[in-house]
Amino acid sequence: MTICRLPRRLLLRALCGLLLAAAAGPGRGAAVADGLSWLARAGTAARSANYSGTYVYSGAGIAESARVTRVHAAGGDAERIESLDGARREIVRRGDEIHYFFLDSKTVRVDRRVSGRSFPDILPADSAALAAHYSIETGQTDRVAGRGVQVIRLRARDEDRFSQEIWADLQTGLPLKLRVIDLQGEIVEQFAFTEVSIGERLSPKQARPSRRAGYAGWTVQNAIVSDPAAGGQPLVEPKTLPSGFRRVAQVSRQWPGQDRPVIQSVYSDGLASLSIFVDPDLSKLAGHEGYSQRGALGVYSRSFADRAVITVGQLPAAALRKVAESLSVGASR
Amino acid sequence: MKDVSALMDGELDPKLTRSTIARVEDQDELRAAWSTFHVIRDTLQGNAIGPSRFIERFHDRLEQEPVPVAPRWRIPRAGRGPLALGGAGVVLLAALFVWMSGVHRDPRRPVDAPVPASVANRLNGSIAVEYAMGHRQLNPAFVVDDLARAGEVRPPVSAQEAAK
Repeated sequence: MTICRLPRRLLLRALCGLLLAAAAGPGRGAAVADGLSWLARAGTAARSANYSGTYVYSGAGIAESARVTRVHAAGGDAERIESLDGARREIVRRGDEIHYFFLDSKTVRVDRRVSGRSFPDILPADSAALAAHYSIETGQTDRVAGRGVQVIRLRARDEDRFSQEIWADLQTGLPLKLRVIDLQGEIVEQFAFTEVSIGERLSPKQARPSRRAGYAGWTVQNAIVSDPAAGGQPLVEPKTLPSGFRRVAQVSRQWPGQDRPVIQSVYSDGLASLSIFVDPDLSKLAGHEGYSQRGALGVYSRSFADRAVITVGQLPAAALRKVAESLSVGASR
Repeated sequence: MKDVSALMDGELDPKLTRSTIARVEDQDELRAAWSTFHVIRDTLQGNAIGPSRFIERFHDRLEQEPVPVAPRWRIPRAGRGPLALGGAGVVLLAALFVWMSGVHRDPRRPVDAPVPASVANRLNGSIAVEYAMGHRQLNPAFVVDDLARAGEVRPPVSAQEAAK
């Protein structure tokens, strides 16, 4: 008999697994294991596949569509995101370098990627670690943009973060739709491809700015992004963060037209993220202290230690407020 | 594009139906429009996104608020759907949707302000815009070029209200 030839330890483990699955209810264990492997697959596809398509972002009562092209080439990855509604904007990213083209006002702004990912590339490399903060399982299969998809649910384990649902392409794993769901179960934000092609042979040229020449008369704005200068201003840090949030980036950035740099610290649990901006120009706050929320994004601004501190993140209002109100001055670098 | 909208509304001249469907199948642009119209229709019917009573709340707000930049429009209740508008209903509703969501969700917008096109503009043109863009760098809905104009209006909720 085949079963006799299996090592005893393996047999024991399988038995334990079966018992656990049975305890969790029929099919539940499988859905959880499935959820994790689907999540890993979705993350890998988003980081490595070439794709181009149109998605609709809806949140805060508006719907806005954009065309995205992402290409992986020998020299690294690049993407171009063109807004299809309202003012003509184009975001071109090569590695971590971002160019914003504002075609109506003939302005190009150069920036560096700090806060990480954007739909559909939303998952961390170590997606299994998300299980500590989200209960992850697969749902039904569905169809998005004419393609078969698998629903992956990430339910927040506490009230400090939003739940999310990902519709991953059955063929390739690429996330084709994303929903962010608040504590009341209402959808606060959604991205959904309306048409997409995945895995096609794309040349890096296709992710370049659509305007190849004729920049005479354009304004170039340079956002200077660097490591926070040694011996600079003391660092402002939150004493309280939602569990699992850790600092993933800290930069000093100087926006065009400003004479002093702003320190931006980014914290993330791997999926949700928040930024704390410390701006030495306190006068900016005049009349602007308070909380405002659009879609899944909350913004909380306050004065602290003679500075304007603005906390921005995809977190429930109460969680964001807790972070913003727990600021302390750390050691200067 | 008008034919596609009429086709969706079931109001296209039957003689044109076959050729319009063929064109939608053939042309990427029309296919994308077809898809987008569906998303918009779902949104307006409350199937796709947003709080379930979104349209009703819109309706209520519309009843209460003066409309500063255009004549008062009514949006059909979710049950009736955009079909009731007929013709290029979906296109009209899409335009209305974008326009109204900009104007009505924020009572503090100055009356002569331009109709906004993105979430960033709708972050009330407050201090929040600059930082929202700095955080959500790759989401075009948060990307705006005119940060100077953005500094004029306060956020809608005070610190006291947020603290509740």
